[in-house]
Amino acid sequence: MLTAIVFYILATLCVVTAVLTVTLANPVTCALSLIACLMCLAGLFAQLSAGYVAILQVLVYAGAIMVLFLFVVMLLNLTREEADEGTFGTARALTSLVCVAFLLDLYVFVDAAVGTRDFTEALEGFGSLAGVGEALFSRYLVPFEVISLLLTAAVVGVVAITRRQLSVSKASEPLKVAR
Amino acid sequence: MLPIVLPVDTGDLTALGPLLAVLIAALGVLTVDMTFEREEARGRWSFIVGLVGAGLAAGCASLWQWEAPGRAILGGALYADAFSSFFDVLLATLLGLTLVVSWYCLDRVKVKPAEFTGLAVLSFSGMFLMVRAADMLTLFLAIELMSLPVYVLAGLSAGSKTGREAALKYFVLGSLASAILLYGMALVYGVTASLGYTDIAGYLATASRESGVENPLFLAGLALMLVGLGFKVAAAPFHMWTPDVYEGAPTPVTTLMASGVRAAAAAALLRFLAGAVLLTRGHWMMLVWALAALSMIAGNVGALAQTNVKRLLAYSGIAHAGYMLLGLFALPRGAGGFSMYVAVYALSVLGAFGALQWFDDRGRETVDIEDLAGAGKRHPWMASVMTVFLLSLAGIPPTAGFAAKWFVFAAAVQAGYVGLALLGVMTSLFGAYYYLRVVIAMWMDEPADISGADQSPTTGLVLGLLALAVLFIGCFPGWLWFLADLASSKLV
Repeated sequence: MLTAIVFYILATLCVVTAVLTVTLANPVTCALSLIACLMCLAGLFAQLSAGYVAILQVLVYAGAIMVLFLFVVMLLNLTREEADEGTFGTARALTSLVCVAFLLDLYVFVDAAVGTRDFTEALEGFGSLAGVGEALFSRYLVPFEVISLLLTAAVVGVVAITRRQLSVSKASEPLKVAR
Repeated sequence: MLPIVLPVDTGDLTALGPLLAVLIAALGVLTVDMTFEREEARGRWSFIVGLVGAGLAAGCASLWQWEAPGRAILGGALYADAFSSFFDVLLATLLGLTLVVSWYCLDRVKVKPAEFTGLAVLSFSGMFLMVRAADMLTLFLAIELMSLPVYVLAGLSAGSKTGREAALKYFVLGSLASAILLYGMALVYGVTASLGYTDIAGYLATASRESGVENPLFLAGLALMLVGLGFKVAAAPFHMWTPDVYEGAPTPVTTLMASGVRAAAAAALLRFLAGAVLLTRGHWMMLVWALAALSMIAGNVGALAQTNVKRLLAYSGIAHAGYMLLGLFALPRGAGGFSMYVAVYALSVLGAFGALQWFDDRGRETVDIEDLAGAGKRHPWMASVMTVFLLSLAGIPPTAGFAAKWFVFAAAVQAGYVGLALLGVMTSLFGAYYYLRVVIAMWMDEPADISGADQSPTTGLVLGLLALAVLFIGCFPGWLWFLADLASSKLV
């Protein structure tokens, strides 16, 4: 009973904050509500006794990635008018309509699918530190290694882009630091 | 302590030869880029390392015993089979050719050779991974490893606004496609509780109809995955980005996007459809039918009005994605026609873009049909080579394109999709019209102002050999068909 109550509270908060993330005008509040959303998700993971996944969710998503988001928002340095631009117009109304249709669609799908399938219990230790570690270094070793390559590619790409821009701006005009 | 067993068997490493060769080459190019002081030395050595990697990869791949049964290696993350070897050979060839035909043009589009080579080889290592991915997680990571360097490459041309626009468009839409693909994978995983293709196929075979093949959640996931992969092969209606990105990116990068990226994406699509979800083919074949029909119509109609050769080839590429998809109807017998079409299209389009680069003026890219006017009088040899590639893309005998089209249309007819095959033949006629417009401009029109400054004999020779290969495949398609069929029949 208590588990169900906690679940419904967390789930409702999660959906509400997710909707706020895409509807609020100010980018910073959007990012903050996304953090709240991710926290609720972490709570849901914890409820499924996947403690390590819950901690990772907070550390990596709510912590590291959201800080990155906030940095980008800060660096973009939007003025008030730019940030407020794009209020609820026809395009957005249409998009919301499509999204709602998709949501209903998904509800029907999930309902039909859940009704027909017996979900097996998770294995002992699923989502724990040992469980995640073992999966990462045995069954998912190759994808794990590929991620390191992917990061290399990303780093090389970023260096290539910034190096080009530096040399271009050096050639044309001295690098401006302050506005 | 849980016992941790690493799924690595040294015997498996030999099967990974081509992938490892390209990976080491990619890292080698990065090392070379740091080692040498002078820009020219960096460029030259990275080029050599890239070419050696491509050569080693092709060598390792052709050593594979084609008759041997395929198997999953490294804990079921990758496959080692004839299909990967077929595409290894193709991709290694494409890598080598891309480097050679682009080499002299990089200066003109203001891209540093070392950067181009490094990112291109990294992207190809993703492609080699993609064609042998045996689970959805590896597939997704491989797609990203392939795409990230290409996003960067598209915008690498210094001072090019259109290049930056193309890069941004490609990046944003590509990320969206990846997200949709990932969503689809999550749904499929939610139903089947497995990421591996073999496990998914196993689940579908044992589960009841309602919870397996007919499961709406599973089918929704499958449809979303088709959207994501359809974006990568540029099939309509997920093709909107193609003309702008192909036009805006520097031609060497467009060459890479049109040949390597699409070949790898097509291979991954076939492997997923045949290896994992073959049992639901009654459902996804309807979607493939719609994708194929839309692509053939949208691509060919869109290409009719183009005056820019890069846009024209982009639209024609959409149409070719449609023809390619016809080959999928041969499943479950093995889609040899599909694999063959992918190989022939990739080689022909690489040749066409390569020849287009060869015609570049000093400091300016050749992009419009009128830039090519009278090329036949100024450079008859190169114009003939370009003509061969265009005829192959149009599917006119005796070029490879005709043979490949023959096999995919035959596959569609045999599967009972006569109407779709007829649509394919009819839209091919449109195709012939706009390809011939370029050919006519080259041979009939008065020479345009081509200075023809720094065309390189090496590139010309390589393109000439490729054109001969395209003619050879057109006259004797049997051996390529045999290999493609052998490779693809083992997938099921």
